[in-house]
Amino acid sequence: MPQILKNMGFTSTKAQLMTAPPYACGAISALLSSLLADKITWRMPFIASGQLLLIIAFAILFATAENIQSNVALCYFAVHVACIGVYPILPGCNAWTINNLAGPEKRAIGIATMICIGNLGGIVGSFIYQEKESPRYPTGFGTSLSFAAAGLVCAFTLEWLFWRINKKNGEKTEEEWRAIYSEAQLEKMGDRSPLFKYHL
Amino acid sequence: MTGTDYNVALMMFFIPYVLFEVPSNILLAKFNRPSWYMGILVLCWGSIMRLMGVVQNFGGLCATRFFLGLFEAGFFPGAIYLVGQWYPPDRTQFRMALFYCASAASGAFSGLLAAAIAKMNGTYSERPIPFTMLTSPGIGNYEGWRWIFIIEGLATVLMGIAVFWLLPDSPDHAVGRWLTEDEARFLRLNNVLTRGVKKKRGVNADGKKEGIKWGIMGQVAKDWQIYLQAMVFASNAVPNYGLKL
Repeated sequence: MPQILKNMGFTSTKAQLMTAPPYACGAISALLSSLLADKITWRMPFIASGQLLLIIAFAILFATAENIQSNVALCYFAVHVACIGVYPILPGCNAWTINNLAGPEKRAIGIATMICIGNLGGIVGSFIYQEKESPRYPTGFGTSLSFAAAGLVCAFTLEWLFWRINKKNGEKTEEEWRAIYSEAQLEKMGDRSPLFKYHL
Repeated sequence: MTGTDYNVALMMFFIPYVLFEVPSNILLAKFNRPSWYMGILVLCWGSIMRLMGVVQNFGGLCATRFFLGLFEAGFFPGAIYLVGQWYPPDRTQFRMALFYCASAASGAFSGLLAAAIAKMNGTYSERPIPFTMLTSPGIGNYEGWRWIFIIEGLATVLMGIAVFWLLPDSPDHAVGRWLTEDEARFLRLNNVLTRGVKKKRGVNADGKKEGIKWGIMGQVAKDWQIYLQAMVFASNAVPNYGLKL
């Protein structure tokens, strides 16, 4: 972001200062959306709307960055939108994952695996913004845009799969399931047990 | 540094960081007192940070960055896991948001702190610190950027020691200190009820404790939700990198 602001024509000290308002917006949006998501115990909408805002923000940056000097207000606005979108995703994604893994060991291993694979994305991030592409960064903005879009598809897919499994598990009562599987079998299945209700 | 040196130093951190996230969390889950494990991690990387302040060559830099990645790997997944152990599902996300905001705020603060410490050198450059200032010794014959690592590393070590006392382990350990027996029992039952599945590993037919479960590793590896969530995670990680630039 300091680089984007510098490209707008601000000095580097001023650019540094101007990063504060977008970050503050991002923090507020992360806290508020998490509070709400906990309250209604529904996480997908907040993740998905964050990703949607990201797509909009990067589309604006992608389209206008070439003439960034004449689009200062619009780009600065887009940076705000991007921050508001990006910060709620991580708490949402982590909470969603950990809530849907049963058993302390599966939670420990599962969350670490998820973060590990997700972090590989961070490595991608460090390669796509190339100095020589400044100020348009087609590779950088383009890849970010497509990752946000792919993430959105994944969030919807998860929601749909969880919803379908819950519906199928709900077709029988707890007694009926217990008649089919023994206690030990149900324990062993963990979050795949028909008695486990996935969080949406 | 010349040519690809900078990228090599960067990768020296990332490789152990990525490789040790999972093993470290397996280890953490085995500890009865997670505060000991987390405390040791923080102590180790704080000490490594102080060592970074006295590196003299490129090999030393790579070695310290390797160990920094090794010890820091366990922190993030560990912290997320521990939040999940203490709070029921409908209270986790807000705690995680607080955690992320705190880490973002400390990132902003550390920039200011680093700028202030770098002044101990006498000359302050706005460029990224290392290796540009190698030539002008400051206080105690150490350049400003060295002091950043030495002082912040020392602060980290002190905080690491504090973790042993300040990080709550589990409801059972808190009984008598800041939880009553009933409160601890409530938390325990609430955890089993809302998160499902037993607490401890079972004992198999021969009376031996079952080993660390390769079965669970397999379950995780085959679980589609992990991969989909990882993609959701990356939809944050990649754009976020652009915003930090």
